[in-house]
Amino acid sequence: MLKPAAILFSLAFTSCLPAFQSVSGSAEWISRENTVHAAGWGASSLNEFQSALLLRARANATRGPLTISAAGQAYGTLYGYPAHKVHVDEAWASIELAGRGSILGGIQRYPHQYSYYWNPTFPLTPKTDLARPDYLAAGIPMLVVSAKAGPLTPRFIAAWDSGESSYGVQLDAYTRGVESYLNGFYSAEGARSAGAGARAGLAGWTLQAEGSLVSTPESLALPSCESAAGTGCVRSPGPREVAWRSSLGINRTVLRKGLLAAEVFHNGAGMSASEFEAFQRLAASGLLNEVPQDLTLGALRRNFSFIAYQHTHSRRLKWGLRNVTCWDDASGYLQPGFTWVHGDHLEFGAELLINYSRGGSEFGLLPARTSLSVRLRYYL
Amino acid sequence: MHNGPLSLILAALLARLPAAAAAPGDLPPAQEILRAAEEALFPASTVMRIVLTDHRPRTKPRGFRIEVKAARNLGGLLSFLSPPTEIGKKYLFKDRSVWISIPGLPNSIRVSSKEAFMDSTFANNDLMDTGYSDDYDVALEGAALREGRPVYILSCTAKTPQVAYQRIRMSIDRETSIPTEFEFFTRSGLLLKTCRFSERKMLAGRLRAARIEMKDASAPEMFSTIDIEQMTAVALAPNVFSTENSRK
Repeated sequence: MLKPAAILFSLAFTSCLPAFQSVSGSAEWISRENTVHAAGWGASSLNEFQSALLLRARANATRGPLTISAAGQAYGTLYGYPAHKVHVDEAWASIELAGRGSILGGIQRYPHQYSYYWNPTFPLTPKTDLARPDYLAAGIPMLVVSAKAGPLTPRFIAAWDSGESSYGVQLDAYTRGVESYLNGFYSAEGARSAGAGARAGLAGWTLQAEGSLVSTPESLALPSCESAAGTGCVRSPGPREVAWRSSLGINRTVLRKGLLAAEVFHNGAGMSASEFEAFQRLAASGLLNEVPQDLTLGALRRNFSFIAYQHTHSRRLKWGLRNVTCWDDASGYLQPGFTWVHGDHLEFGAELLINYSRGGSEFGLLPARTSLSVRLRYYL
Repeated sequence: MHNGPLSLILAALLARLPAAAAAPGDLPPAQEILRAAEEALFPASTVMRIVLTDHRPRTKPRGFRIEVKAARNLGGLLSFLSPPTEIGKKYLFKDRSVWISIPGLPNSIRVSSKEAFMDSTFANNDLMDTGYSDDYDVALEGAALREGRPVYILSCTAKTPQVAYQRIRMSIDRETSIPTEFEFFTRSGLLLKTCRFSERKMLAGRLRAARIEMKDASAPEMFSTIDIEQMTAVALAPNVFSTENSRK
């Protein structure tokens, strides 16, 4: 039976709905028992109805020195766009040999290194939507071969993304509490990158720094609109050959119950003010038939910051606040939210996105000024 | 010598006093006592199943069942077995940092080990750091009686400011080397927490404390307990305590 507080909350929530430009909700049923877990998920939005079903499974088996793991995740849209389509998000298998090495192959997402939101050094990682930090883009076919040599873990990586193949090597190290890595990547289409990063704890702080030099022959991939006389288009900026991308971050426990985290990110391949203006004119002119995949909201300009605080009020209630800002045009958004755990199975959460950006700015491109998302999860 | 009421009173008082400290030559070195206590608490490398329960006034106690893999000088890995909302989460402890892996997140979050574990009175490193002799300089304060049993009293001072507690006073049972009580202090001597060890059981081949109760001195009505359901001495490979393994 619903308690009075829950009824009051529901009434308050319903009465506030018209104030939001976007409201979405989701309900998930998740089982993570033992070696196999499955999740069912349904979601709908009041503004744009969509529904989908997500299934995820994982299994492990150990035979002597071998550990074999497999995982898969697929979702099918039942209503909305694209309708009735099944998409395989992850499907991989790995073999591990007694801690000495592993081979992992299949459709997967390569994990971020240290930064919470940005990944400045691994070009193969599927792009995340910075306007929705919990969103994870789909996996891509990838093969990762790793070996273990004391504190060092060298890896070879091969990936295929939309028909483009990329190859890379990475050396991970862990010594005296300091994690670090070096990596280098090469794509058959001519992109190159070399990166490094480190993370360590110091006097109660966790510090991280990452950076990479990225060289791409068509870094902006914007079409020219020279031929569009009279449309007011500005010539698209030329390709940028080499760019520096970096991320610095810190986090600290506050009063034993809270976690404060902050990051700054520099995208050397990002657009200057005039380039961004030109891009918006192109988009508005209709001549930009397809936005290049490299252009992800939250990484179009050059300088960003992220700050977040999460507080564990009690075993049942956590609340938090995060802010993402583009320092090139002072655009950004606030996201307060909370999670409430009821009993051993039920988790309820809500997040509000308050966009304070003006039009014509990075985050001014977000579709809504304010949006509310609500989720209900039942763990089997 | 005069016999009389004063002598009787003095004799009664002397009988109530704790056993006097033995001469320095009769007591083992402090480091030896501490190492024996560490061995009595947990094996050097172990897999345990524990239940962590938080007790608060006017609230139903809520427990977590957790599998703990711990190896001295290597680290600790906690995996949640229940409740269903927590299954899949893992905490890796190494070098005074904690990596938290949550299903669905692409990477591990690294935080300080001083943070409270799951809003209990235990800190992260209370659960995962099974050794003290590397982090503390230890001195023997003396001997005493606690609940009728003779104990050693050790005074431990942190070697670096990075550990969670700057001073610990330990009471160690003289016969079994099982700890009976730890008191945790700040550098200035303020009592932070008290930890009591009780309910002795045969675990991993010897008698050990199967219940650990931690109380916060600033909120004595709230306390957390760890009940050890199972304990096995198992050789654990170093790669068990890696961020890669914790994400699986």
